[in-house]
Amino acid sequence: MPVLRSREILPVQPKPLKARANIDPPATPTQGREQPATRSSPPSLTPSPKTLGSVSGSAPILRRSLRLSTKASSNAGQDGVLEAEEPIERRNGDVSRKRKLSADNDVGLESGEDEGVLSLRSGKRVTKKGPFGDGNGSGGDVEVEIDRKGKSMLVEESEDTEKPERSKERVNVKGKRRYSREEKGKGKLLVESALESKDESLVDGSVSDVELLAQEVNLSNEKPSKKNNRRTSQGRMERFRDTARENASRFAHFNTQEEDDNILSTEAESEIPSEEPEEKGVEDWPGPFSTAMKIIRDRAANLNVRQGSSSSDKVQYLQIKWVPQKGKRKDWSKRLPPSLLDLSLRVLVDNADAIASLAHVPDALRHKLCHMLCDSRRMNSNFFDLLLNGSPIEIRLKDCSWLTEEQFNQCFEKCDTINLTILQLDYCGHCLADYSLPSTLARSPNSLPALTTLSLTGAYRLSDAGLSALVSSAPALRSVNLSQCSFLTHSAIDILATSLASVLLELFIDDCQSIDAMLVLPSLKKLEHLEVLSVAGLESVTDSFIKEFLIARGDGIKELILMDCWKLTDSSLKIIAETCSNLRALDIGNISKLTDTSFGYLASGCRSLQSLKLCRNAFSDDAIAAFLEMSGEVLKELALNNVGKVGLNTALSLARRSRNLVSLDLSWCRNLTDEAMGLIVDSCLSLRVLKLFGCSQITDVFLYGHSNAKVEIIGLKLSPLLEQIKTPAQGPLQYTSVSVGCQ
Amino acid sequence: MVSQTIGNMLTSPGGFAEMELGEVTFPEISAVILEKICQYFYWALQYSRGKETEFHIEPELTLELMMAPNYLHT
Repeated sequence: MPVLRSREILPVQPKPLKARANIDPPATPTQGREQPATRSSPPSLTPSPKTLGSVSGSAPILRRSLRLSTKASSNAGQDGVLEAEEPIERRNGDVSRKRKLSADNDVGLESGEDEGVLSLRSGKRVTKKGPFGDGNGSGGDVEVEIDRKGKSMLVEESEDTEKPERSKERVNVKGKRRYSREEKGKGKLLVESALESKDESLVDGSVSDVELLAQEVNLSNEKPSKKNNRRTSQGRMERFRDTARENASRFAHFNTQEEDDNILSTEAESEIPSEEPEEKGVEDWPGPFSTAMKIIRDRAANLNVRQGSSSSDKVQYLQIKWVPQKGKRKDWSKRLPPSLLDLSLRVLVDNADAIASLAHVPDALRHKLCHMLCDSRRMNSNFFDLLLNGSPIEIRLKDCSWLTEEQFNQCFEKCDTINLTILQLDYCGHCLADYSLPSTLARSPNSLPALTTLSLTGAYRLSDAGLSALVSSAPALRSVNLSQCSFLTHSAIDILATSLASVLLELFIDDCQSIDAMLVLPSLKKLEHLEVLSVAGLESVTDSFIKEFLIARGDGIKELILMDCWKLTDSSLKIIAETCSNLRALDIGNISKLTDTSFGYLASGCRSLQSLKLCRNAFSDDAIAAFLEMSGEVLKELALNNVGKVGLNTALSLARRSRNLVSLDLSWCRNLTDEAMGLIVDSCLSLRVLKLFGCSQITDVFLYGHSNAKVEIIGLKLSPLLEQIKTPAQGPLQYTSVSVGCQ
Repeated sequence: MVSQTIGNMLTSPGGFAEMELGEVTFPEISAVILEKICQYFYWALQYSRGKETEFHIEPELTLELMMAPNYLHT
């Protein structure tokens, strides 16, 4: 390679460098491998890689290469690129993206075959290389180029002269292009108008590119050798296919950082519905792949290349985005003093025994006090008495396990319950039994006339008869929570349904193991206005249960909690989507039989879904991303706990679409990088709570680098857990407001 | 913003006396509590400037003190 040799930087590993610049490690490595052997310029390379290392990718350069690639019709090295790319995995998805590019464009990525040289925005020249399989000599050219770039800006200028020479060489331009695309993806790069124009400013970018290239080269260095050997024309096609397979999904959800996003997004949205069935229905390529390819091409005719690169670039884009944020975050935590309310609550909790009276204390503060006392196990019957003093309106005790039966009886016997609207006695199994009810809660029919919300979770000694007594004394009940009352059977629910058919709005029967779902079905159908139903943990919940119930009552249902109902399949989701048009919240955690088709149904059916909770589901990254693209705007709460496949596509969709997201749970999603997290947090401006349990891959780069001051990140650092679990202030009902009857 | 309520009182449009005169009165809050609240404002300012000390609250005051900040959003 005369051109290369003439340069000072005759790198021995020009290929690796080159690969860096293009951000296309795979491509480069394969070719690079061959090149080094033929070349002998190891020393010159060393300096460049170092420089390459640190830069955060210059977008401009990437763009350029994209342009070039589009312009260039040559596909030189296209196949080769595919091969090369495969082994290298710089970043999650980057590689695949690159492959896509090569598959996509068959374009050599380089600036016209005529020149054979791809001039990147940074002024770097990428000499065209023939297909990988063809030759090995060209690899060196690219590398040389990279080297040059890294070394000095001036060198680039001289590249011009070399252009013609380059063309002769076969360079894995594709590889380079990929890099540049990715780099472009990192930042907002304007598509340079002139391929050849080398701006001085670009030179800077090129340096960074070079550094990146250097990094990538290192990565790819290992693999290229293997690749080279395998390269054959047949192998190429197969690899192409494989690459296409893997990349197809990316293109289906391309998420460009570029200004074209706006244009594309509208197209994307209109296309997503049609595309979804394909994505959802058949996640196995290559059929959908070709469709996805087509969609991408349709979306942005001239952005195909960019899309590919941007998708592969997105990680890099994220990286770039994050550099400037460092150093800011540490200031925030210092600036927020604890509120006086919190301080005084803490003092009160410490001195709870000294409180003489809770008169005039508003209910919200009472609940907070109880909450903190229960958490610190300082709740006792004295305080309980204070709570029941006067004529309480709301009593919320999240933990009654400290309460003995005697204390319960004593306290409630003298309690005036006439104004009681909300009674929450969670985990009251120890103190509540059938025989204590007549003297405490169920003194007489209508002894709890105003009771709207009743929660007696964990009342394992409560039988059907006891519940019946309760229900007769509280005829106005609208919300009943009987979770984990394992003694109750379907006849209890029947009693409920008979007396409260027209008023009951919320029913929670989680984990009531003696209740058989199918037997309960007729009673549930009697509840005319049911808005919230929770049957979590009931193993007897099947598709037919869901089908029958929802056909009868689906249009009024606003919240469905189906966690742990492992027998459910996609057909249940189909029915949910078809019947529950008002669904606001859905919890389908731990239902492993659900596949991506469920998301297709959900996205098309439940348009007002505000809260979605997943846990350990087997959904793929693309399905979730596509769902977010369609329905992400209304979503306020999203939990992707332990949905292992969540990755960059989801991150991008979250960042683009979830403007209203308040709470996000990404615990155990180990494919998400610091950059992805940073993008999510910085783009979701309404985000207040982010749970990251088990995400040990997240480092301080994210924690101290993100710029969202209001988000609270839970789960990464050791801290008292209970402090972080905050119960939102709740009214009696979740979806309907209730006017308190005048007493 | 250390107190949303006071901030809103002093800046809300509508020609209220508070905004014109720049003073807000709290007839419901006793003087002792108000004094403590002012001490808290000062302490919060110091805290945000880096001087992290402890703000001591007498337990006797705390019950009332809890309700005033609740009202003042502080």
